[in-house]
Amino acid sequence: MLSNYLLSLIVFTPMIGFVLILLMPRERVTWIRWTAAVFTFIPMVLSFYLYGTMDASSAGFQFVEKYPWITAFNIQYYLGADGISTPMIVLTGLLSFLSVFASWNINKAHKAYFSLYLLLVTAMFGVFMALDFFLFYIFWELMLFPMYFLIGIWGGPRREYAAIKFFLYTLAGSVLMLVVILTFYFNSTDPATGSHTFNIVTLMNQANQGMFIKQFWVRLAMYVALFIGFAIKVPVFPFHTWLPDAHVEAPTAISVILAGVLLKMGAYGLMRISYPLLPDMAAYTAIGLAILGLINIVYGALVAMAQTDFKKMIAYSSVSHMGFVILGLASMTFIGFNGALMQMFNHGIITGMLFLLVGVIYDRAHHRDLNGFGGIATYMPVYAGITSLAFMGSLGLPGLSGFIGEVLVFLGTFKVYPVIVIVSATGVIFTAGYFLWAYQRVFLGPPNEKYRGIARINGRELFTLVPLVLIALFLGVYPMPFFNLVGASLSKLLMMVGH
Amino acid sequence: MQTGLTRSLVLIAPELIAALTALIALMGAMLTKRSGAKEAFSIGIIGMLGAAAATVILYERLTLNTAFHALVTIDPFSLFFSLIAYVSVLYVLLMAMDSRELKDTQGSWELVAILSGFGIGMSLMASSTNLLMIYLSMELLSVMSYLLVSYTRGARRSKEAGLKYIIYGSIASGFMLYGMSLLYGMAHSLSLGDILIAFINHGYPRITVYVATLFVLTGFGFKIVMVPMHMWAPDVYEGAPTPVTALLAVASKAAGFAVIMRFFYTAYISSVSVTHYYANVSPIRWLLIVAVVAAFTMTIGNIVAIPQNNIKRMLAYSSIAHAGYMLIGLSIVSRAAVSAVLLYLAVYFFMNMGAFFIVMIVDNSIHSEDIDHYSGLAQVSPGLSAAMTVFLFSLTGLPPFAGFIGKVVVFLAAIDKGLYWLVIVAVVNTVVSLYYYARVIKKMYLETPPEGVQPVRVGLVPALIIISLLVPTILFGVWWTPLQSFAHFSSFMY
Repeated sequence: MLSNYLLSLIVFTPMIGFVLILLMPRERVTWIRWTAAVFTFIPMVLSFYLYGTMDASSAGFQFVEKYPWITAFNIQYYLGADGISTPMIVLTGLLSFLSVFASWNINKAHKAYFSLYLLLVTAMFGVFMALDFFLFYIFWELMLFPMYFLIGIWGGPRREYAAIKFFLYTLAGSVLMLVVILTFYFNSTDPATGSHTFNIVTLMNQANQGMFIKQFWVRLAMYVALFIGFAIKVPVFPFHTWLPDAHVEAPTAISVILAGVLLKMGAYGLMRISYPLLPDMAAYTAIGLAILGLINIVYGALVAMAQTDFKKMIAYSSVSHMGFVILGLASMTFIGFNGALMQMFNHGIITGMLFLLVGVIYDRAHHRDLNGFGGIATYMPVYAGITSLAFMGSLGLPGLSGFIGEVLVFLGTFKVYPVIVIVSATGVIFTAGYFLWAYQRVFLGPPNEKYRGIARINGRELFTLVPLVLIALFLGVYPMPFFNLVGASLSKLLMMVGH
Repeated sequence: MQTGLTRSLVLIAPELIAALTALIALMGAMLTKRSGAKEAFSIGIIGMLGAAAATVILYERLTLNTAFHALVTIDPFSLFFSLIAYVSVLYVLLMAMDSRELKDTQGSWELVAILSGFGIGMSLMASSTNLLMIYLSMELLSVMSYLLVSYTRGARRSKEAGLKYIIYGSIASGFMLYGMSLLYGMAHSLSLGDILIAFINHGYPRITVYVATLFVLTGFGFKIVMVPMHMWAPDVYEGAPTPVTALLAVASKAAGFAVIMRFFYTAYISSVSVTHYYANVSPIRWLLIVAVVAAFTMTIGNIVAIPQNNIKRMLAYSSIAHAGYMLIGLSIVSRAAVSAVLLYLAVYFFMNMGAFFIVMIVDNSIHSEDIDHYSGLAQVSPGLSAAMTVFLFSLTGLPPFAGFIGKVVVFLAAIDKGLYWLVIVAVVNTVVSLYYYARVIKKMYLETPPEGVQPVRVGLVPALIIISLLVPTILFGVWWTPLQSFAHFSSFMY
């Protein structure tokens, strides 16, 4: 019974919370907070249930829900989950619940904040489950305006600029996607009815049989347009310039969501849509993608090293880490794909942790200048410990989950593009460089007298961090649950792209 | 099929009801000394409700009918626009009741009479299948519009706007008449159906047909604010009282689209609806002209909207851009294209009317149409700001709002015919438009209100009116099957 509607429940539970919060008087801050907590907790538990009951040996879509929606255009309400989307759904559930607690000290317009936040959560779940292209697009766009307000109202000093920049960039990417969606639609036939369809599974089958648009240039143009749409989200160099602004200006919880979930959508889109629907183009442009991945890794790391703003450094480290995902996807190997998906999940966990940690110190010191601290480890030992663990995870220390993703990406790609891997590996050194250097400047050295008596990390903050720490540790030593989950779906994807 | 006089009168029952309303209003103006706002508006609202109801009844029962010796054709297409006409006038009356600008003018009775005349003109424009009738109904609409624009006699900018409108409008009419006379010279008939037959049977010199078509299009383009006939719109929209601006931006534009579609689909396109067969039988490539004009219209509208500081002026340019999006549907011939334009117009009615309504309410309270004065509006009037945000996002074309659906159906029709370049121009324009719509939202939400700002007072009736526009804007964004079938059925033309 539950499994018939499981995905809908996950998507729309936050929506119920959204409506409830809208009905509450705005002075009832506690009610509003706890409503948000409850209505992100339920989908999180359901997403764990999804993971637990999923048949990982099957590559097909499970928990499918399919109803006609707009019959005139053959648009369906079509949800489903497989090995590629389930880790993302779990990640979304986890981070959206924890981020509610990171939003605890939002200090104005609570009602608006948490209602928009829940709307955003609904949209994020929807993107990872939608199997109808039109539905996918609606969810994809639905993320934009809550995000615009969340950055624009509750963000840092340059929030207005960052918010509109994010909005315009992502909209520019997605309208290109819309044109491609409509083009797919007119080149598709639903085998059941003979009409056009937005059904992604049908489109995949058609692509597999080579039934799409014959002209090479049209296919290439479609692939490029789709890619730009996704690349802006990832973000792939040179479409990354919105990211440092948005991540830095956004409030802590929203930075976590941005880095942890939204960035994954670009890569997820490549795996769910670009690769299966235009497989020959994916193979044809793979080398270009690998080079972009390389640029992301090295350039992101170098720019991160130059930052003096703690949060900006982490924002650029995201650019660098998402480069691994891109590189793994470009490899077109099973190991590379595994590494890329693992890296997506890890990046969500570890970078989410990093942004939470920056939030902790920013709430106390009210600045983020890396050079303005010093010896914080003396005053906040637990905080320093967790930060060191997150840093090590992010720079890929063996024993933590980050290492496994990166190593698999390199292993998978080395067979195909050895030179690119060798150059990319320098990025790992730079990454170690800026993380260790930042750690040294903030936590080590003579204690800064200014921060004597700074409040230690509190229970609420620990509550948001500890689950992430545990996951990073667990997957670092025993990643098999993850690989078992994604294996079947990834080999199917690999088959689709013809390897 | 010829129809007798009695039958003809039944077919124009909505227009008769509107005409009756106008007459009662004129008598009311003579009989009552005081302006009698309440009674006048009540008569007007009842009259428009009656006309709209009659339209719906006709729509339900109708097959195909011509009336008055084929001067007008009453078909689902014309009734769709009649409905938009009377509902628009109804909403404008409701707006005018609250309007600060219209409060101290020369009387509400006359306003009701003029607005009823506007409704009749628009309704007849959509049903005319004869060049003479097209011209007459369009002039009726224009004259009423001129009066409405300069209705606030005291206000200088209103008078200026009225004068500009008359001058531009007369020139456009002149061009159109000249084009029509050329068509008459070729086809020896004013009936659109005869022009079609003449096109099929004779090979006319291409240059003459080009000139005639372009001139006629000039007249029509003036009504839909098509580039390069758009110069008048910003000044007139800004100068006119806000309810009138809403009427011009929504109803007058819809009327223009009605007449353009009727004109081309009856006189230039040979069609068999059943088999979805449509072909351009005129010797010229007018579709390409419309496509190019569409690209320019949306681009110029959007780019010039960016630096505007007056919100009415900004919405004026935005409405130019929207005319551009709708023109995409006219640069292809298919039933899907007609239905897409109709759906777009219906959606556009809700969101644009809503935006103008809120502009008016805010203006009533803060006496300003300056976008800068919207600062922090969300903090003092959260409900109103949220509604405005929905309308603006819908105008941008963001899901899950109805404006997105309007765009999607138009794009679908265009891509079906392979018009990729125009769709790409349109989606790029969508991104540009986000910038200026979001600017208003930014002012409302991201900035703090100046000291001592009072909340905008919204009475119960205006609040209900806004909700009645807001609900469809959201609902049709997630489930537009009813609207789709309505538009599809209404795309049936004689």
